[in-house]
Amino acid sequence: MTHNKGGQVGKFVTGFVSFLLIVFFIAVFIALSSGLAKIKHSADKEAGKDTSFLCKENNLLFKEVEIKIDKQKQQMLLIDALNLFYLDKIEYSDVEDNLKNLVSKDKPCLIIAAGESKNPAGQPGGAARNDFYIEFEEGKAKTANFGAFPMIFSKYRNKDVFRALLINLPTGKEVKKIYIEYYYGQCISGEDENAK
Amino acid sequence: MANVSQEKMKMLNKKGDIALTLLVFVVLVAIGAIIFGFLGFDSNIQKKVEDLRKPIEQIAFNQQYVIAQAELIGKESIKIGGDIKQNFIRLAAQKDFGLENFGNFFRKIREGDFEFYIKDAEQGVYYLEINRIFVVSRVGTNEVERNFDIEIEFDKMGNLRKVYK
Repeated sequence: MTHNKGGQVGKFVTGFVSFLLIVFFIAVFIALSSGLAKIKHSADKEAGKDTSFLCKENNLLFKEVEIKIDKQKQQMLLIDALNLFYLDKIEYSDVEDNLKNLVSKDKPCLIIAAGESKNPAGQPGGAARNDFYIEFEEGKAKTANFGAFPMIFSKYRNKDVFRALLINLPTGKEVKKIYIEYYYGQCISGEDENAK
Repeated sequence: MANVSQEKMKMLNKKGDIALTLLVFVVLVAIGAIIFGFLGFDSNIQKKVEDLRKPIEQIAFNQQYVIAQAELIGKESIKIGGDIKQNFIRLAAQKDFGLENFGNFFRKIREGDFEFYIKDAEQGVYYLEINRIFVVSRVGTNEVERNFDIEIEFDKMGNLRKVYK
């Protein structure tokens, strides 16, 4: 009878320990999952996967700009001004002048890169000639020589902050595929990159 | 007799121990299976989420483009004055690059299939209504179509007064 009692106690103790073990593993599992979810969420934000750009007010390409066409000023969305530029209907400077008005203390850096292949930002040499880089510094908008674009853009590429867009632009006979990458926000400096 | 009973009890206790050891072992295996399943499920869903995220983001972009375009053209049409509906049609034609994915917006404008009128002359309220607009997004084998209406109120200066959502 004593043995039976001992067996019962042993059974209860083992069952209880097993139960505690299950609860412990469940707790670890939940803590790990929620921890990972938090890390992943912030990583997604850093990687530019937050969807705030889908709000019309936050998206660079929906900003209104003023472009002179046939000596007449026209209000249009920036994306349309870019289309006109890629169709060779307006000059680089027409777009650039407007982009200078968009940078400010709050959003001091602006990049727009375009090309006929994916990931156009950071192309070397003449391929970067039609790209834009505007930086707001010391109260005014500054641009850089396009020769320096690959080096500047690589910092943004490493941070994975570019938004991408594909435009199928009809040019009459054919449809021109233009890949656009753009960024609008805080500047990413080389020092920060090295510090990381 | 007492010895036999003791032997039997020992054997029964041993059997109980095996069962309990098995229980712990089964629990550990079950936990392992859950963690394995969790890891496997996560990596699998990640790609699916990516595949679904792109067309959904693109369709939202396309819709925002159409709304931004309607707001801008509406504002400009009011600023020019005169026949605002005709102004709207003319200005929209200038901005129509024949881009894919923006559905029937420009076609509707071209055909005059929309309303743009002075709702309240005293207060200078203008009302733009374009119904049954659709935009499309195609990424890989996924295709998403979104249907929506545009209803916007402008003031006499062309500023947005109210956007009906």
